[in-house]
Amino acid sequence: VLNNKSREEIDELKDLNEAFLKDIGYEHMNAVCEEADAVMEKYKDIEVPKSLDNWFYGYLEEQKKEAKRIQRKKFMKQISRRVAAVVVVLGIVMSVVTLSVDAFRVEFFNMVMETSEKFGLVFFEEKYQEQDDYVPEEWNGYYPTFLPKGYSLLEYEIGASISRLVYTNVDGDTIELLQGSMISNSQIDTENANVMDVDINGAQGILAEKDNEIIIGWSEKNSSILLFGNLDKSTLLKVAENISKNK
Amino acid sequence: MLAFLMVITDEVVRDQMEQVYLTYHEILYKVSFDILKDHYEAEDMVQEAIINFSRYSEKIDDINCKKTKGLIVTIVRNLSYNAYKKQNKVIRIDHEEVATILDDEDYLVEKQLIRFERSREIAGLLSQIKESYADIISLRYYYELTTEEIATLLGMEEGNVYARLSRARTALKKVLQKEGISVE
Repeated sequence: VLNNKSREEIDELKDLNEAFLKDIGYEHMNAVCEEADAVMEKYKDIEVPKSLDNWFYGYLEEQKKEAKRIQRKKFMKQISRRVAAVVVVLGIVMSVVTLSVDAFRVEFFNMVMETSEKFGLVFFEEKYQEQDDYVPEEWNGYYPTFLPKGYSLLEYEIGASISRLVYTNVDGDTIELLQGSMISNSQIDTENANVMDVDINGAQGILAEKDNEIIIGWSEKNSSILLFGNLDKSTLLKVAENISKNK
Repeated sequence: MLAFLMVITDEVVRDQMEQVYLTYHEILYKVSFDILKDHYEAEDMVQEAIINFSRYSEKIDDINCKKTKGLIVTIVRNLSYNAYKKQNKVIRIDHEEVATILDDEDYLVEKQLIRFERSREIAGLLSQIKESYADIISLRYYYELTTEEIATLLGMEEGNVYARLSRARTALKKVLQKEGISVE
């Protein structure tokens, strides 16, 4: 059939053959419909069982449920994508606001530091240093065994009733320890200060915060101790809790 | 909005299926009963035909036309014949079954020999050899279904659709030769 024929002729022949087959298919479909009509006539007295209706409407209901289930699944997928996007955007916005506004930034870093101090022992070891080397040989009294990193002994005074140790760092911040039998918590200036009760190794004391300076006062046996500093509350409390007595 | 449109589409498909069922369930049942002579079996075949047809229903434009009727009757008829063969363990090996498979480039007729006015007669002769051959020609070339779609509708393997199509073309070629329409 295909001998000596061009590609165009072959394509045309192919189309005509398909048209011929389509026509045969069309005629067959007509014959099928006529045969089916004849069968309908042949069995006109037979009734279709009602159970077929029951099955069909049950099937339709199942299809409906399935469609709803698929729809719900798609809806949940869309919603969860949107929620995830909103959470990401919120996170970015909050991070930008926190890090761009000074007040928030300071609060944020304080929070991080407080949390670190509370839960991070390793961090404390880095921040504090042993101070045995900085206690004068003739010192006979209480002294801090731990101080924030960078502090060293600036001056000291041994008096008959009151003795004092002063530590400082490169920024000029100071921690002062006063001790003696003649001082008491009542000497702390609490006017316009935030005052709270504190526990220093089982001893009851007070903490007053005023003009960025913190004073902690408490009693150790026969001595009263006052600790002054302009560093944060938790750090100064840590210093207070690590007071020892030599000799 | 998309979800709403999907609901509408689903509703349309369901309504369409209900219409198909109401229009054709009786004729399907009787065609199947004519082959199987068993009410329960006929009921099963109608169910299977409706389920298979529902996968194709989106392509239906007019439920009441002859084309749709011919398609759904063809489906139930083929399903019923298959069930009948399984029940009766019928294994028919005729000359068409073992015929050589034609390739797509092997044309049935030459241009000048195509006579469309004889199509009905030729379709009838092909149907006499085997109805399923005429059915598969109709589904493939008149309904323009893919072999995959035919397989789904008739509950067959796609490979068997290919084989049946090829045998149908071989059988058709023989019909044409017998009728004096020369085939190269």
